Amino acid sequence: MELSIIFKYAPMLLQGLQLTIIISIGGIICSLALGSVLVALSRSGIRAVVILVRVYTEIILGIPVLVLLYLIYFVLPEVGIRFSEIPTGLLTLTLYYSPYMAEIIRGAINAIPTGQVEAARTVGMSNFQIAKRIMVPQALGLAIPPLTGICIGLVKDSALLSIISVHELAYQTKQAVARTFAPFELWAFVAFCYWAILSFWEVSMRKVEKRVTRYREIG
Amino acid sequence: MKNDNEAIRAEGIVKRFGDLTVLRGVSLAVKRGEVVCIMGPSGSGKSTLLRCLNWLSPPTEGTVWLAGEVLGTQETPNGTRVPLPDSKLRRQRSRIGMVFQSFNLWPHRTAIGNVMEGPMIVSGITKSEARRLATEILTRVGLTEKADVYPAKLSGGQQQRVAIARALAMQPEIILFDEPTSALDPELVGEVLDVMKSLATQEITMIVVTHEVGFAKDAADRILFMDEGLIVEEGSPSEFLENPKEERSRQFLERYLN
Repeated sequence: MELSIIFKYAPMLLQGLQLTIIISIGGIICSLALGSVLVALSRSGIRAVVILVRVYTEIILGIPVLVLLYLIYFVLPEVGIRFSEIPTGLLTLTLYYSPYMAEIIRGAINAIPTGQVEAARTVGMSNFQIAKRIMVPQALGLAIPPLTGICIGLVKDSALLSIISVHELAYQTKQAVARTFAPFELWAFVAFCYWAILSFWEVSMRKVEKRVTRYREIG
Repeated sequence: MKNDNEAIRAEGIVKRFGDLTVLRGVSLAVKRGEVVCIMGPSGSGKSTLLRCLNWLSPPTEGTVWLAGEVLGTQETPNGTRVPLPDSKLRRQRSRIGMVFQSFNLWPHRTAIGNVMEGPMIVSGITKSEARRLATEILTRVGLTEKADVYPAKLSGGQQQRVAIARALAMQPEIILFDEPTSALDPELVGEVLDVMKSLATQEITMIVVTHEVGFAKDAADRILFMDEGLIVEEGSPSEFLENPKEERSRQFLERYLN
């Protein structure tokens, strides 16, 4: 066990960590955005659109994320659609995670009793005001726990992008191991990094959730 | 159809849900300051009628006038009726208050927050003005000390009084009550009815769907009795409660008076 290896390769690993964080945040933002669009489309009432969203969701739910990555990276170029590595990674995570995000958002919205919306209508509020002031604040509290779980999955899956040579944390670690032949120190350290960041994030989100749902406390 | 003394008028209201006809041509007119109770067995269309009167559930046929103004639709230059643009419908709705059986408070807002929401967001008054108005109204329903409490910590009776305050805050021309005490524990019914009785004496126009015979007797100017989607009898509380003309009213009252 040689800790000096970790120090020596720290700059390289940190670079990887930086990209992991950027891709993760990008993936979360894009898949949340696309997820919201999917919810809006599936509530549009236009039959063809609703069916299209349904089909897309079913396809994604039935494909492993790694296979989706290969499809985008190796198969799409065959039909003339080519992305470089980082956009491929972002696209994969976005396409793969958006239906899950959509499901969570849909569930949170549906959990708000219609009576509350009717009460808002009788006061004279517009659909936008109802969404902003009545639905979103409550849906947020309901959606945070499952969203946290799904986001953690996304961050972990970003390590798969090392396969297509995205220079994120797992890729950088692989490179470092190839040069040092010290897999134990490096992989143990990197595992610890993932764990520490995700645990910190989970705890923080639990605090946020508690904050936005304070109104539910009875005692 | 302009009648200065009229708060709301409905003519020929029919409401169908698919094959089911819930209202079969209901007409009524309520004067300003009048308190009208609607009674009748469950499924007779009472709640549906209220929801037609504020366009939460637009009637299939018929017309509603709010202070002489047609509700929910407008006439095009070539004479056909089309739905009113949402912004105008919202303005009309804000003039009709509603109190629901299940309170429907917004749980993420405090008592005073629920009352302030409409004046602030819809009427556009400042937050401090809204707070002053809401404090005054919460006092009227006897909940000054609960202003900053979330609904989860209020009893059913207190929640319904907040809901009444929320409706009052918009200074509506009429308030519709949809079985306001039916979801309450028996010992909490009184406090809500007391608030409603005090509103009745303050010249607030009210249409109240209720099974509370005592309230109807004390507070109503008129009782409408509905059955199977029609108003089958109408009269002053003493006429209706003591001497109902229709067999169906008699049967209904026998069940509720005992």
